Amino acid sequence: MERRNFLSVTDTPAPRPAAQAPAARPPLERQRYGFEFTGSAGEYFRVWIVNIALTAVTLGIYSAWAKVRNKQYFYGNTRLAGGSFEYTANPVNILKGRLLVLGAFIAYQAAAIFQPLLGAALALVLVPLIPWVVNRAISFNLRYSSYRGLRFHFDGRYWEAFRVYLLWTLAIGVTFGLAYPYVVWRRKQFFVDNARYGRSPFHFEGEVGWFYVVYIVGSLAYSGIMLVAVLLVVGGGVGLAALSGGIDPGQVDLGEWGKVLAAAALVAAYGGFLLSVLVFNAAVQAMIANHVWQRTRTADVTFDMRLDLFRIIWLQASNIAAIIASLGLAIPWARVRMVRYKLSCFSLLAVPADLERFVAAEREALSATGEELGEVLDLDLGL
Amino acid sequence: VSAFDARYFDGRSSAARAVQVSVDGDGRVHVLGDGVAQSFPRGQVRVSARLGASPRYLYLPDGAKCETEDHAAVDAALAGGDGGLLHALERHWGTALASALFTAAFLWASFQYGLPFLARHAAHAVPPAMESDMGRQAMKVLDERLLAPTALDEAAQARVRAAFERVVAGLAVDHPVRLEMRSAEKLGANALALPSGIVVVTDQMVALAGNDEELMGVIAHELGHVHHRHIMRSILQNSAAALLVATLLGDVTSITGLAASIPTFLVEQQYSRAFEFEADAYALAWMRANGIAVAHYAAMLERLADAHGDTDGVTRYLSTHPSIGERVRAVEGG
Repeated sequence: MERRNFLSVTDTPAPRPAAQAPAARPPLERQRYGFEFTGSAGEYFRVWIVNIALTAVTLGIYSAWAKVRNKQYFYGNTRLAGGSFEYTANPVNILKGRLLVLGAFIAYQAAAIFQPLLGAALALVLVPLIPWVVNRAISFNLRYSSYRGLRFHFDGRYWEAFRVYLLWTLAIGVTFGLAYPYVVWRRKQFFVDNARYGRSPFHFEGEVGWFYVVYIVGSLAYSGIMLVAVLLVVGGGVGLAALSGGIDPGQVDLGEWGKVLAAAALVAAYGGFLLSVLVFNAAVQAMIANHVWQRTRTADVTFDMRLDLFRIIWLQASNIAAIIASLGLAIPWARVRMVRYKLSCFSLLAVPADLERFVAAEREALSATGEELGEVLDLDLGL
Repeated sequence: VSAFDARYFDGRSSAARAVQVSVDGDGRVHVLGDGVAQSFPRGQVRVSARLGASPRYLYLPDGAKCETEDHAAVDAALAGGDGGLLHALERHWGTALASALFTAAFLWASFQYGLPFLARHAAHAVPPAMESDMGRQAMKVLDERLLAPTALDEAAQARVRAAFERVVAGLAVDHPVRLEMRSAEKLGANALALPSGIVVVTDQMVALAGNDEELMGVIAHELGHVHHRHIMRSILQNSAAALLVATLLGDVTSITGLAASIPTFLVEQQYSRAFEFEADAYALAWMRANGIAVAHYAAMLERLADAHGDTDGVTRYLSTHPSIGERVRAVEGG
């Protein structure tokens, strides 16, 4: 814990104690183990595009396999202390889950279009299912994630999810958004406190005050930038009108090129707005991720995340620009680049022997047969 | 006998042990080292598929797992040589390029032909009665937000109704239709086709039309939307296009979602413009069949262009309607 303040992530190479002689006394001092991403953009591009083509050939059936393969690529290339992560979900279950969700969605849409009342009634029936779906979805993702041969687990209870995802979500509206940072904090707490690695539960000690600081500073900065942007657009428009011979709208005739310029300005303003929302969201998420991981522990292992705000903003903005300019072909490069940076800022602190001491949950040695219905639901809620 | 190094995890604890895995001549897999000495028949050891340079996993029958990066040795000893079909496709830039071209062609063909074809058939299969709620709902929303009761006098209303009846009488519209007149300050001169065959004509449109023939052209155009089930088709096509892109990309989160929404948006505008041309053609066919000069239709379009301001040029790609210039050219050319 105390070393966290003196060491930065980059100057500490991650030790990889793959083979320790039993005779050697393991050091009792805590060490820093950095996460590392070993995939490459070129390799992932090929995996990505081949799987998209296979999904197209099979009219979507293959999408479940494609999802698993994409996830496996990122999990497998995530290295920590001489081990890799593994995503072990069965694509058949994901396919079943997708068909179920698609069927429900079509039924709901059809009901909403043809019989609005029936749609509303259906929504009433579906809402109480939300906490259950949230639990199953997180559980599914963790259960099929493993590291060093042990699975992760999630023990969220229905009523807890009910409070966090329904009651507190309602509170956001009632308080005109003031409760939002609190709700985000509750959700992180719900996620971390109910997660386990093998038998070892995670603990969350994040402070709700930090969430308020992040969201208040974030929205102030965002409003400021938006104000400047609006002034620039309005100013530019007035300037353009003045240049073309008067501010009276009746007299402005910009001609073909003027219209092109005006359209381009409109598209740029709209795109800039979307881009800034995404970039700001990434920055806020990064500040929250830093705090959440710095305040998370399991057994005697603590975590550390030090994302640099400006690096995140640059990566996100340039990723979006590249994706749009390449008509989507840069998606793999953008993903790899972002994940590589994030993992390079992520580490854990542990006495080496502690990493070897986690044990499997009781049921775990049995194979993962007997899937429950809920586990076919696979929704990425992500942390 | 081939051997390779691996990390061994017993599945009960997180302890990592360095082992050497080898396959002997009798087809048995031996796992040796660091307190591990096991052997299994080769058939009981499952090997994960190769995925780039990411680690390979050997799943042993007792729940233990070996992890290694020595792909060549794993493929030679256990996985039958080449790493499998998927890896064969994923390792070459040639197949990646072919996949990209195929995906582009697939998307183009789906947007251009596949989805419109499916939506057309699905829309015609929807019984008119099912649309009636949609129509009522749409009318209600429009009345609340954009429309006011008509301010036309009795004579003018009768004139519009007569024009409507005349168009309907000359058409084999396989769908119940109904005329609604409304005043619309915000929409201006406009006519709308709503689900379940409701045709809305605004007072401003009636005022703009130079004569009854022009008004009948407008009504026939809207009935073309009704006849071709354009509303239902656009709902179906647009949702299918969004679903298609989401399925291919496999996720709709944050930035990939944005990337997906741009082509979907452009495709939607394209569909909408195609429908306008289809409705134009329908109106023109009716005019010709009923001995009304097509010039009236072009004249009406010109009036609309003057009233609303046209969108020729680059901006037309962002518009739901084709530019009236384009439509006039199509009318005069056809």
